[in-house]
Order: sequence, then structure tokens, then C-alpha cells
Amino acid sequence: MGDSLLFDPFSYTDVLIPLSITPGIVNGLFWVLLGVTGVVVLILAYHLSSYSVSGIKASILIAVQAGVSILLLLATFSASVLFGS
Amino acid sequence: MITLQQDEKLLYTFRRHPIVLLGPILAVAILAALPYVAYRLGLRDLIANIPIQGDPALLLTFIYLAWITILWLAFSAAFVDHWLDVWVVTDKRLLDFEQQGLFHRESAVTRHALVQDISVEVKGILPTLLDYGDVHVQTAGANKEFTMKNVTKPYKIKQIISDLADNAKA
Repeated sequence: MGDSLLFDPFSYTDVLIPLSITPGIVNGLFWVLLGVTGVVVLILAYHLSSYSVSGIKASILIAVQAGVSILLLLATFSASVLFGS
Repeated sequence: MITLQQDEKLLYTFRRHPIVLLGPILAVAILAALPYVAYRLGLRDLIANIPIQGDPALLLTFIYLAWITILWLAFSAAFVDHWLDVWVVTDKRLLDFEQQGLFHRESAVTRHALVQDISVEVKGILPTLLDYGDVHVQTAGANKEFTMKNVTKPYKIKQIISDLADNAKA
């Protein structure tokens, strides 16, 4: 009898995720993440360079913040590329 | 960079106590561990039902790294917010800068001669043990009160500002 059902209301994946997750979707998500990260890092760097008391400390903070962000983005990009291969 | 007047000399810079950052650090740590807990509690079964064109382990790695990147950005924003809340004491003025989020910044300036009353508020066990609290400076200027919240060594700051105000009035 169960085989005759065309739509199973209790199978949430049918409702929430109608499409399969493809490398293209993952790649698109990576570019969105890259854009958001870039904008936020630039805004924070602008604030630090404009309003800090010490220029040296501000430069160190900007370098750490940008460096860690780049490393995380590289790791995320690698995962997306490997997923697509 | 914060610019001072030509003949002005920077004496002190005061910030909030680093313990204030403990809240954002704990929040980030809990949120970073959350996907692992969700995975152990049943996310694994949900993922097994999703049609994926590729290795599910790599997809999870991608999602987790993206999540960590977002958390890093949130922590960076919280840290910059903390770092840019600063009191600058020069030989002539008291400058108060307060960053509230990414797009809201307030600043106020008063001359030492305009300082009237200074009070300190240390409330709670942790502030008492770690020596941090609020410093309120009442002035005769347009900005009636300057408040530095959760600042390190509030009694020392009170003494410094009080001495500078006395010298300016003498």
C-alpha cells in the first residue's frame, strides 16, 4: 500500500530539499561567502585604520584579521573544489 | 588615526577590561561546537536522505569551514567594537570614543578644567576581584557626563583624571 503513495508528507527532505546538492551550488555558496567576508574585512580594516590610537597596533590587527580570513577562505575553497572533482 | 592638537601630548589610553571579551569568545566556542553536536544527534541521518552529487564528507567539511568563517567574522567585529571603545587622556583634554557595531560611532571631548566630579562604580564579584568597573566623569560642558564602562583599574583612572583636573584649575 505504501508503494502507491506519490507524496510522503513525513519525508521532510522531499519538501525542504527538492533539488540535489550539486558542485555548482557549493561553488556558488563559496563565492557568496567570499563576497561577504571581503566586505566585512574591508569595513573592519577601515574602522581600525581610521579610529585607532596606535597605527602599528592597528596594522597588526588588520593583518591578523585578514590573514585568518584568507586562510579560512582557502580551506573552504579547497573543500568546494574537491567536492566538485 | 585619532589626531591630536599640535601642542597636545598623549598621556594615557584606557580600554575596557579584556574579560569583557570572554562572552563573545564563549559564544563563538559554543557555536563552533554546535554542528558537531547536531551531527552526532541526528544530522547524519538527515544528510543520508539528501541527494548529493559528490562526497558527503567533503560537503560537510565545506559547510563547517564556511560556518567557522562566519563565526570568525562575527568575533572580529566584536573585537573591533571592544578595541575602538577607548578613552584618551592628553595633557589638555579627555576624549571619549565609543564604537557601537559596525556603523555607529560616538565621540565626546572635554577639557580638564571643565571636569567637576568623578565617581567609580565597581559592582559584583568578578569586577571586584579583577579590578574593573565604571568611571563617571561629570563635566560643566555640553556633554554633561562621560562614562567609561568596565574599564581596567578604575580607581587609578579616577586619580589620574582628578590630578589633571586639579592642575588645570590651579
